[in-house]
Amino acid sequence: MGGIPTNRFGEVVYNGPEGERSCAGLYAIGEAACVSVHGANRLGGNSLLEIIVFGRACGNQVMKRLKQHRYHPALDKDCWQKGVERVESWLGELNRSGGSDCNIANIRLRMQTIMQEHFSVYRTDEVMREGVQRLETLAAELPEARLSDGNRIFNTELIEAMELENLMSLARVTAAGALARIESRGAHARDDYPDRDDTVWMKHTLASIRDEHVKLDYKPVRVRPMTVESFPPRKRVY
Amino acid sequence: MSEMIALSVFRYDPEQGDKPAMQAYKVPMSKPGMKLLDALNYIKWELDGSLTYRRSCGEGVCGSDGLNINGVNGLACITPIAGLKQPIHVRPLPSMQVIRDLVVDMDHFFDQYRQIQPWLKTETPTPEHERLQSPEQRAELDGSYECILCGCCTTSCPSWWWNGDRFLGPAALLQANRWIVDSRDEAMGERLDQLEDSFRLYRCHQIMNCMEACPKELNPTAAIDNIKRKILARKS
Repeated sequence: MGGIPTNRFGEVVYNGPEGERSCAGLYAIGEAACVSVHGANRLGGNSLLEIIVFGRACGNQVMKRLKQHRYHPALDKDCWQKGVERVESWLGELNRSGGSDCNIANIRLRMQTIMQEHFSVYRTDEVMREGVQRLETLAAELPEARLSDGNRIFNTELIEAMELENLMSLARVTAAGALARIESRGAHARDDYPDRDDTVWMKHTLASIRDEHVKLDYKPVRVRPMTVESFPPRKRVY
Repeated sequence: MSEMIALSVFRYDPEQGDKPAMQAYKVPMSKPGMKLLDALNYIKWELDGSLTYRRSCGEGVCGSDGLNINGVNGLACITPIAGLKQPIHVRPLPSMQVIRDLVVDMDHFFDQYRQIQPWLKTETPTPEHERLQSPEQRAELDGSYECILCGCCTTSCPSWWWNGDRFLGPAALLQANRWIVDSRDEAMGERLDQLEDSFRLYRCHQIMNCMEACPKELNPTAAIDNIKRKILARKS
């Protein structure tokens, strides 16, 4: 239940050496985004507010930027290459090795099963730790996966393969982030840490995959409204 | 050994360029209430990764997997296997250009949808808040707004098979009526002008295949009838 970090104008932000910087011209709103007004996006009606308030704010910002920057900056002339390489790496290694264990559907099913068994509603350190291990082992198998369809017209197996790569990355960062967060918060309910811990954990997880390893980082939650007093977070009771 | 389902599926490989052919598959009945899409997924994931079809939500909301199933148009994801005669003949939507296997070219279909200008048109200034509707006015949209543009109705219509280049077809006309009956829309005259044409509207001859085919149980024929009545009413 995360999202792409943005500022209140819907501009995507990232952590550079000089702190938080916005990525000019790149926007995210609604379910895709995390403006950080709520802390952990998205439970309850959060995504609605994200769309109604920040969707509009983002639209205004887009108009403002377009007035100054009518055209897209020039693209690197080799920018398409990575995408083509990704497709060709799938189509080029058709049927070369592997049995039925290595097909896309099989790996996807195993990934779904791991996520279901180890990162479901109620979580514990032991169960999640084993899940991370199983998931990392499975992720290492993904490069061995092969397509059976080499057709270049409407190849839905290729689409499923690329979706699986994306899903695997998301599963890995979700798993690592959940294991590291030793508290319960929102939909992250741990039997071994049943309480919310605002002193340590009122922060966003920022996850990335570099050199095949999941790396976790954190950033504070915006808790200070601009025009009214902030009210302190309380325990959520039903 | 579980019960096996026999299917006969339309295959066409544009790279080979050979004539289309029906291919037989056998799929285990894996769960009660199993839908046709489950069987197609089983083929793709377990038997033959090259079988190509569109799918997305898997629950009759997105309208991606409109197919011709035993001769009747419907959505694979909400068609139960149990009620189908075997072998189940699965073909692409009729009268459409096939891109590959069960995937058809929907461009012309969506172009016709665009032609009816499916958006709110107003002349009066935007009110401070919203353009309000009474519950009764809102109820006028029931039976129109549920359309998911799957194409099952339009591709089942013999008039559209013959004159699909000019006749807008049931799906586009159902949506045309959706904006005509919308109390907030102020362009009814313009919309009727655009539709009053022997081909665009009047190729509908109440064959009612569209109503029969619609997986959302809507009635495009009634909507087309309403448009005709509106045109007649403004003449007299």
